[in-house]
Amino acid sequence: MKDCQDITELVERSKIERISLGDRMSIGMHSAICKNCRQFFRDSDTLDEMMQSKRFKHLGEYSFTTEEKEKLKILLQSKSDS
Amino acid sequence: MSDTSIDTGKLVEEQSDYLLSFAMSKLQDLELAKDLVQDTFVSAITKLDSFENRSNIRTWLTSILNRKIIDHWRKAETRYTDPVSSYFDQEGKAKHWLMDKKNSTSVESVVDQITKEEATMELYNCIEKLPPKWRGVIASKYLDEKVSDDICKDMEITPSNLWVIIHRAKLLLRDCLTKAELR
Repeated sequence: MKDCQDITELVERSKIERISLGDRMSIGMHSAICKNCRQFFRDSDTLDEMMQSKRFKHLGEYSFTTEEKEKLKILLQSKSDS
Repeated sequence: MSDTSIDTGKLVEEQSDYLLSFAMSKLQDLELAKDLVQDTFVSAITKLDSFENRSNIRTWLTSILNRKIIDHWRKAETRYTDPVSSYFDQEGKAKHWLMDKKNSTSVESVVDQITKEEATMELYNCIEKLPPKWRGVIASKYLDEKVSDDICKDMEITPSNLWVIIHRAKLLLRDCLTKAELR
């Protein structure tokens, strides 16, 4: 009998590779009786959706250049010393 | 450096790109965003006493930056006043909506957009708190969109490690996001 940890792991596995019919049935039967796992499945989908969004991908694109960071450090150092 | 101050170099290295991303999630102008982040650091350094480790340093800096972004918007708003006359046809007796004013986006969708942006920013913050290897897996999968085989090769993990890491990372991210909501 698979527990909640097994089932939620299986769901993540199923998003990466094909899982057996038996495993798919286990997920179905378990989720029919487990509210918390159903909540995790929904949250997992929401997280996927958020991390696959264009909005999310753009976030990592902005950065200061090394030169700008050095200038900023000097400026802050002078402020903190004064 | 005095005892009461903090390591400014470390502060810049650890927080500047995050703050810039935060600013860019609300502004379209990169130079303006950089200026506001710089102002944020300067304000933070000069009022370090008010921080007193009451909250996470990033949360504190983000709130200062947010204030500066709102100030910027407020100042911009007072310079630009759009008369209501530009919304309705002023020619005939019946004042109908002008073509370019009637099809505007719904307020509801904008609110939805803003909420999503804030949640996405918070998620970004949460990902940075993950253990380095898990963060690497999440970044390769979602940001770089690498296929599973390549992620396993790069990170030197087995396929079963991959979904176990994703499973655990999602548990932590879910926890981090729901806690952020309560803050």
